[in-house]
Amino acid sequence: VSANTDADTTDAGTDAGSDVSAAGADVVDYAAYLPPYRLPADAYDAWNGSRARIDEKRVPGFDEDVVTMGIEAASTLDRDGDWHAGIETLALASTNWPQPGTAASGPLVTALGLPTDVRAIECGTSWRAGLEALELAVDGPAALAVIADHPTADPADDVDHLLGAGAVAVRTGRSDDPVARRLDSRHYTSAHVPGRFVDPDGGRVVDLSIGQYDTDAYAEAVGGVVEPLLEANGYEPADVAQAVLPQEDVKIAWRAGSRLGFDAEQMRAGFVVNRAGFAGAAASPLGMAAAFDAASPGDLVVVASYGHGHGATAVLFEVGEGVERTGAGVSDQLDGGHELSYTDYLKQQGAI
Amino acid sequence: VGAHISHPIYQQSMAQRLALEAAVCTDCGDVTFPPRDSCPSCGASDWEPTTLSGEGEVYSYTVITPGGAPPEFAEQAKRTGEFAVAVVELEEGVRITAQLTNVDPADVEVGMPVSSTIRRLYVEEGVVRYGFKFEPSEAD
Repeated sequence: VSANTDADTTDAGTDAGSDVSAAGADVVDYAAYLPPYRLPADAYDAWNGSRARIDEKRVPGFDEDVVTMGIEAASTLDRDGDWHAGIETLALASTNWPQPGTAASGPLVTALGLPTDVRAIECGTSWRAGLEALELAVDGPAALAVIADHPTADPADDVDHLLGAGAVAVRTGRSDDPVARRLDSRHYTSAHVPGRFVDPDGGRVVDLSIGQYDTDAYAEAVGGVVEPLLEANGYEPADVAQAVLPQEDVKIAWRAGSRLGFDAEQMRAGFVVNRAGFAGAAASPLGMAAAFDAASPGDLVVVASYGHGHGATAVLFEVGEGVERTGAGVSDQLDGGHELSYTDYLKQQGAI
Repeated sequence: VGAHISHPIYQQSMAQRLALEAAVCTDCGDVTFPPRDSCPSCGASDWEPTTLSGEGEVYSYTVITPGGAPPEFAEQAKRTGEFAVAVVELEEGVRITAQLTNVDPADVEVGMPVSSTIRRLYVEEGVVRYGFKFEPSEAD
């Protein structure tokens, strides 16, 4: 599909229709990648059933990691001709880097043929990292955000039931025909004892299983960004077509969503955790891609992300006409893939 | 059978492994992969780099059982069982040997359309090595 971006277009300065910052960039193309293996919830019958309240999750192949998944997602963008002209920033995000201490952007730049003088920035301490990279990309003037994650846990720990994987690529720039335009964003950061974190020995997610405490922390941080974001821009929750909230806990996400005034119809399209599993830093971006897939020009989409420790970011997008020329096909990808048995899953992970 | 590839040798082939960089002969136009100093078709020594499409079909293949895997792929074979290795003929006419991924070896057929994909190949001295494999074209 033609991205129809004109990097040389000068901003006329006034745009009667919206509140766009002159320095910002539009989303001009986006793509998603879900790894091929599906682990259904009933695979956990061996453990008295899944504890994650999801239908299934995605599992990368033995030969995949966040670098290869990121390359897969970015390779699905429209790459005709001089597709990367003008891209100044490459913003990566993940919480499961395959080779800590090295630049994960290296293999990505070479594989995608990006210019070697691109400003590569890698975000990745909390699951909010995906929205951090996305914010950098829409700050402009033209960027590529590649967000890929695959949080893992000890299979003996219930949190393993939830953890999935996926990747999203977003190209930004100036466009007369944007997929979406960021209207505004809000951030919240404060010290808070984390209910979940990554064990530095082995890189596995640890869940302290302190449900009510986590619910309160999530509500404080996520409510603290979503409500002022809408209010400041003169919108009510009912004005939003799609709300993508942090999906690291199904019950907490739905409760918080309804407390914020969103109904099931507004949250369904972006609620990909139900079939992809929780993809860490890529979870909300995957939800955003699915929400864009389902959106029509003029729709408002709120995307929020939460980082334990803690903080939240929420971004308000207005969908443009460009959403009709491209798409990430998240729903079709969720329908594909190969089912994995629980024993093959354990074997592939090196757990047995 | 050992198949150790040193870090410098691997580094030299990085653009080939990650971006399918090939050579096109400026004399006869033949495409060579990996690039060589002189054209195997006409012997000319002037060439320019080109990027292969990564689209092709299975020309021939074999299935590697865990016991037969080269040592760098022993862990993969242990974790995922047997895997297919194919000679893939690309649109440009070049034939490349590579692993097939995202496919059951029993489903591989000669003539099957495949596309290149970047995957983790193996870990050497703690360093993750990436490179191309091929997967069924309809997989994406």
